[in-house]
Amino acid sequence: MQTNLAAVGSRLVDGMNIEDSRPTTLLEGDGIEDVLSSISTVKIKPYPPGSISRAVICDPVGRTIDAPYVIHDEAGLILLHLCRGKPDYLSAIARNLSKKGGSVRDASLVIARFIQDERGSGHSDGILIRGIGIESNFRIRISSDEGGEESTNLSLLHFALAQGGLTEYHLGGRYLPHEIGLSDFVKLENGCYPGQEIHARLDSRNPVTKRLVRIRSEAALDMGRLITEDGKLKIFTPFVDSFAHAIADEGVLDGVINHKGMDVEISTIHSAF
Amino acid sequence: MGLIGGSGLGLPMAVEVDVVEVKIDVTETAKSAIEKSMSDDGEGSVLVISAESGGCSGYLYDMKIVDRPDEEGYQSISVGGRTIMIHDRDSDLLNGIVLDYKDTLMGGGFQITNPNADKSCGCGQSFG
Repeated sequence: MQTNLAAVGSRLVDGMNIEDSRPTTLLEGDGIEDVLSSISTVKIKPYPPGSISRAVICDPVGRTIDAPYVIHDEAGLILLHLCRGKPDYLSAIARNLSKKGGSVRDASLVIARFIQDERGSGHSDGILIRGIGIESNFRIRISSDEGGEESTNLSLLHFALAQGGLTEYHLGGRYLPHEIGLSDFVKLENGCYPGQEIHARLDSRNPVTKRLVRIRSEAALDMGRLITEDGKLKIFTPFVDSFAHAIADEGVLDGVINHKGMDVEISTIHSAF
Repeated sequence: MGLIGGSGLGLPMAVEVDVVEVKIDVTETAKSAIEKSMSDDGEGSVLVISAESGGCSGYLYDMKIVDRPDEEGYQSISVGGRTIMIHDRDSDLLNGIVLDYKDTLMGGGFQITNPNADKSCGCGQSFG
């Protein structure tokens, strides 16, 4: 008997409240936007408190290390990291800011991060990041109020794979931002940043044609290459329940393919959160 | 009211930097170029060389002619009749550099060769 893929998807939207324990950092001091912009693929502008922007940090060969949301707060810039541990690039930022009296501080203990179902939450405090997930059904709520949250058993990894979120599998210098749904955040006009030479060369000579896709199948497939009639898929995350992420060649189209008698649904992740 | 009130924040991230006594080599052409660049500046002006985060390889050289900084933490190096200053925080990254000046149609200007760099970008402005 085949699993009803639509039913698998609908299970996800019931009562979401997932605790996100990834680290959070506060940057304090003068010129913090410039310092962060100097290592980001996109310029961070000095927006008013409460605004949200996003940085993408790459290594010198252009592969993605982190893609933190940036919250502009009265205290400074709050980085909501996507990587599991504190990233090394904070040392370079700390060195820079310390010369001007600024600092880099761990804010993980004062910021609680949750991913919630947009419809199911009565909370209004804190800052909301809206429009995440495949159908924009979810939001990230962050708050300095740490009490009273009840998390579901659903793991962050499960949620991220199902909804187009980035995990440690996407980061750590393994993929270009273009390959993992972050093309919109690569702005060459930001100037010289780690990896910019590679991105500029790709832009002028060999545009990236690979793209991040979500795959859903009724049974787990092995990580590695999956060859379809039209091209190749490289599955690079483990399957959690029915979901995994892969990088697809240009020839692989969105839709349902049959692989060894099993339905595999492929859908492009246009903007990974 | 901001999101972060202050209580519970971690201590500032420790930046472990070995402060060393900086020695740099300045070529004769670079000395002439410095003198020429600073000819309109008074005796209180200095050339500050620093390493900022950014650039293609992680750190970016920066050179500025400024009034002598008041803050502590700078090292002074006398070159000809001029003063070059380097912050203690940058001393381990910039110790041993060779400052040269090349007058060419392409890629001209001050150039830094850095023995501490594992890698550098094509334009020579960045190292890591």
